[in-house]
Amino acid sequence: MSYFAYLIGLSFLVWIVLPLFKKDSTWISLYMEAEELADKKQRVYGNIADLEFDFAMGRLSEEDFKIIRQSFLSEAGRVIEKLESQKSSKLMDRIKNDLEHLGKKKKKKKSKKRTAVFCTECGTENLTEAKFCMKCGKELS
Amino acid sequence: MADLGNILLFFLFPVSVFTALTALAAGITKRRGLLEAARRGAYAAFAVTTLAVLALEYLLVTSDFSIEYVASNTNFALPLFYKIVALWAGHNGSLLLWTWIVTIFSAIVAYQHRHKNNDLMPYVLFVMATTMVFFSILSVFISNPFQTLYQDFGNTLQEFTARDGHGLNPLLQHPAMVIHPPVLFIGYVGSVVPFAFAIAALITGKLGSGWIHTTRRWALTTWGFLAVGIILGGKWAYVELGWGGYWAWDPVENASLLPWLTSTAYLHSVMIQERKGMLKIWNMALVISTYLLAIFGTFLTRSGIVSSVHAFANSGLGPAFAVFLSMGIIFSLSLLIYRRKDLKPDEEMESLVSRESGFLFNNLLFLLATIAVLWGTMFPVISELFTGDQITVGPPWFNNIMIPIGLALLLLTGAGPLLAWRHTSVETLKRSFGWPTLGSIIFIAILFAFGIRDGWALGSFAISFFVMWTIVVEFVKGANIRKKNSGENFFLAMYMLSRKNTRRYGGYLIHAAMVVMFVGFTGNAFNTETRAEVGEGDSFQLGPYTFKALTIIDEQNDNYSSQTLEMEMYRDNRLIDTISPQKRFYFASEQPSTEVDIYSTIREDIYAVLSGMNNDGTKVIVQVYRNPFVSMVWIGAFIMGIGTLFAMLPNLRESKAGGE
Amino acid sequence: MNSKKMKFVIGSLVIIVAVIVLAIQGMKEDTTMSYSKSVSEVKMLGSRAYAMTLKVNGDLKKGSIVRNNLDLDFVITEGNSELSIHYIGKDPIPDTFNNDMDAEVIVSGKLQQDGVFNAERIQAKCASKYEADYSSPEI
Repeated sequence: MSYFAYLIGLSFLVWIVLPLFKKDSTWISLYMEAEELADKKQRVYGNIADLEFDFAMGRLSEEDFKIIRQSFLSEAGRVIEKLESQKSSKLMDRIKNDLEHLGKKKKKKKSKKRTAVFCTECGTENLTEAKFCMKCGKELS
Repeated sequence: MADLGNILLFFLFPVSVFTALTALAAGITKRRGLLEAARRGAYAAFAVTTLAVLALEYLLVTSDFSIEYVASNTNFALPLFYKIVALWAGHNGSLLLWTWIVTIFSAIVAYQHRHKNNDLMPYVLFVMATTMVFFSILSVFISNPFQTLYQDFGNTLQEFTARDGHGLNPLLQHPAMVIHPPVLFIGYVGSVVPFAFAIAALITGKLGSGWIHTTRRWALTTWGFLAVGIILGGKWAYVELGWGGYWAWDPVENASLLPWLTSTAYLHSVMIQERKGMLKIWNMALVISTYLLAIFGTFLTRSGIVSSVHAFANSGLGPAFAVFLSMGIIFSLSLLIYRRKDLKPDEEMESLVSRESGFLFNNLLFLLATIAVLWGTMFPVISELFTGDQITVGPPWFNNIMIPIGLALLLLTGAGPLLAWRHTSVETLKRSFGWPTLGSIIFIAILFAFGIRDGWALGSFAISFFVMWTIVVEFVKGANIRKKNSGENFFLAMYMLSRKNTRRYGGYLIHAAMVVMFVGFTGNAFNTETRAEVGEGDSFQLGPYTFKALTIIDEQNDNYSSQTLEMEMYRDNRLIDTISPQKRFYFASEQPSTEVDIYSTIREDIYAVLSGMNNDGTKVIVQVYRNPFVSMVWIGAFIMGIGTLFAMLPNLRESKAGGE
Repeated sequence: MNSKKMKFVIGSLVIIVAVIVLAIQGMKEDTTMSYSKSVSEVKMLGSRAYAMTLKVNGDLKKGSIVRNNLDLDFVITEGNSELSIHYIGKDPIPDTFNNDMDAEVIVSGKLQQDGVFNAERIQAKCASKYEADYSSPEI
């Protein structure tokens, strides 16, 4: 009985070790910024759906609804634009991917700055730190 | 068969070590072969553990009393069903069950992601395999269920086979106890999956919501199993322990509550991350704490560090758990600190009166509840460390803190969903809250008029009323809007509405379940009880009820002998039912056991316990409790289960545009 | 820190302080806190013991259980020390509680001036017995 058990156990061990001896290849990490963008797109869409639902359920005034919706829509537009420009240059992706690994930290900082705030009045892009819109001067929330 | 089981279980150790190492190597080198090996390792671990479990089951069912575990947890006369479930009656067996569930989950995760998530998977498998290594060390080397039985013959220890086993602890011979441990264990172990993905995200730096989406169902399932497991434990205590209640803030109960509290907090806070890109560190911390608290819960139950009615005395597992836990804490904490810069929030809080702010306060309350329960549970250890005296804090201390926190959370349950994301104006606030608030005030007045004076109970009923109102309004309003747009009838509209966003409406259903359960908890404020010594023909009162003792019956079967008191129960001179509490004596284990009899309605439970016989043996002592609303707790739990299942359904997509 | 953040901080602080107050207030009431001692440790406490709520553990002295109507008296021991217990609680007593049994008992309550311990609650350690000593069966 115990020989039988050893046999089963050992054959499992052999089975799990086998892949180590097969001809091998490596996989390439997915491009991180693309994932981040897809994330953002998801988030904006979710936000718009929620906003519309909240409005339908009478949880916010029409005024608030219009303002917030406008800002979401322009954000969505920008995210989609970015995603499109990436799709058109898949080859660039590969290169970027490699660059990413080299200069990860620099890239991070840059992409941080890019997340901007949009003016609810005129739709102008402003820096996240900005308190007032640089074009029309409306207070940014 | 014992050899077979033992050897196969032993193989789990090298297999899981191999899996952990190849997984780690795969993560670093990104080589497919290594990842494939790690994946196969997860499958193999599952296979050998399954075979070991089957071997133990074979030993249990065939009553092989040369094995210590079999001899101390079963006997010949035990019904087959209980022989099978004796797998988790003792602690060696439950540890094996734990280990087995870990390997099942690892294999499932490995299979689900065999073609995707290549970046995260190596580390996910690494974390899960490390957990497996730990549990394999425990069940192979420290508390092995295949241990043979030894007896001291003069000076030498010799193997021997017992003539009959000790039998299953009578307290465990109850259906709720049969499913409670596996359900709870699935809840505990399930927390390893979100944890593994969180750690993988931290290591790889892929900190977006990818890991959250991947583990959403796992987190929800785990949460549901934990909740149901905790309540089954309560149900078992209620019908089996015979002290008339279901929750006593016992350390082992608290241990199961802790990961539930943190994972409930997580299920809410994760929505802020999805909508606003905030609380990233916090969500990580919650997932990590849930896993560590699950391990801690097992540790608390198995080590006997804090004595408890469950009393699984010191078993030598303590140090092993302590080491594993501290390693886990240090490892995850340093990862969090390492990544803290990448986990910065994308947006900021905008208004104190908004949905996200509601979630934030919900999380604060859950955190405080977790700390309070942890503090109270560990207080004997903490106080001994600092004052030298082991001081236990009793249930009143827990109630004093947890009732206000619980009610505040319940209030948020009703208020939160009425708030809009980002900002809610005063005007809309009045519109959404006006009627429910007014309704609750009137409701309090009515209850007061009916003579309810307990402040907490009034508060709890009022809040329950408020929350229930808002939930019903959510469903009705949503359905009406949909009806107008789609032309469906009201009920179809409500169904379609909830199927289109199962997470939201499943959540509401769970909220409604919580309300029902809170009504049940509040019933505790009105419990009454009486104790009487009765002989045949005697009667006594409890509230409007009169109990008349008919006979005392003595019976006997293979497993136990019993003594039953048969009583008639009258309300306003009308016979309602007979109620027959029983006392049993199990032969194999030489243990007495109390079988309570419960007459249960939605309104209240009448709960009778035969607590013993007086000295001359002519009369019995019977204790009767009148517990209002207890059934609400079980009904609530049932609704909660349904809500959880509903929330896991995929959202229905409509081809036609313009639904909502 | 802007005023929005300030609001959140203040709100959170109010909640945190409230919970801490509840925790401390709970700790003061002596009914909720009990000191765990063994029988011999209780003896050593002397007169200090009367003021404390105690949780005493010891072994049930065989044959010491006396039931009289609804009353229950028994003795727990630890080595040579003995402590007489009078049960004043309302809950039914545990199943392991029986004159023929080896049981480890934990009683919670207060020591009276006459040296008798008034127990509100009795717990008998039972489940562990299954795992612990394995002596009864023979070949």
